[in-house]
Amino acid sequence: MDEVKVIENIKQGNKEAFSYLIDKYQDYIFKIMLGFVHRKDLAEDLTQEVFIKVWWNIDKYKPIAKFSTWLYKIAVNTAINYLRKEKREHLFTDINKQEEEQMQQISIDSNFKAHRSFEADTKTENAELAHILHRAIASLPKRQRIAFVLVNYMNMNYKDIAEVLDTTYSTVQSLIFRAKRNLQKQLLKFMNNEM
Amino acid sequence: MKCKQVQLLLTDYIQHNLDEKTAAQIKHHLDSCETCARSYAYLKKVYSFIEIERAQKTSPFLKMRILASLRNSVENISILDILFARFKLIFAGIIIAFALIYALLISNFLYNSFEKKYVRNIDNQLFVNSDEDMEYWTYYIQ
Repeated sequence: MDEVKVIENIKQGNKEAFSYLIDKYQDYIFKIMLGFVHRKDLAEDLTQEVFIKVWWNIDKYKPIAKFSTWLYKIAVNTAINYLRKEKREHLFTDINKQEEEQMQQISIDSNFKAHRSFEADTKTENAELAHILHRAIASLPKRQRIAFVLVNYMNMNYKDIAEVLDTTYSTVQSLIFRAKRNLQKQLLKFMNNEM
Repeated sequence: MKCKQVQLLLTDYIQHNLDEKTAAQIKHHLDSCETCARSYAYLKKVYSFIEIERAQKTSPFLKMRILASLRNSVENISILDILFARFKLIFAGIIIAFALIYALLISNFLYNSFEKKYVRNIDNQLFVNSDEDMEYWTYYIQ
């Protein structure tokens, strides 16, 4: 089906056309969201939010740019806004939580050490490594993080990333280069702290 | 190749982004350097989680959920919401104009009550004992 026609139909309120659009793009949007939030349920919620935004704002889309670029921009902004909101909420709850968590951690640690099995050990190690990766990605500056997620989770090429970020090809090259270097630095720092 | 150079290229090596010659040089270095080999093994393991995450599939019900949520948002939306969404700037302008008018009225009211209470009452409280006082109050009123 021709995408321009599909968009025109959606603008006129055609839900079948919208359904076609969901089929075509839901996996891509889901992967972008996973790259930012790393949780399947949350990534699905945000994917849903993106499509609802698309439905209500489709009139704002001008066919001078590719539809996918417009859609990915909405997805990236939705994810960034979500993370910003979450960070703000954490600021208020963190101080009390930290003390509680420290107390809990002490009791968990003593129970945990007593009942550890090899399997649990491996699972814990994997969960820790995944957590380290997520923290390292989260520590990247915003634009580096977006570029990194789009390359690694979406396999998007640099030209398309440049369009999503409203920038040039060479800037994207530099963003990706710096993102990789920063990420590796962070990860190796974690590794050295562990040893 | 030295350790520093290898460390810089490890991520690209893991992601197979290097040309054959550079990749071979790194491999050769990793075979002989324990520190770099350890970093390589660690990074490779951590990066493998990106692949694991990427392999995740959406739930088969996601499309249904999106359409249901769209139906809900269409049913629950009022004419006021649509008008507000379309004419957001006009609404904001009207609210700001009202706020300004209200501020103007309040300041006018405050000024009038201040004038009544402090400035006009001065006449009743004039206290003239001497020529000096007379001069002071004349100067003050002028």
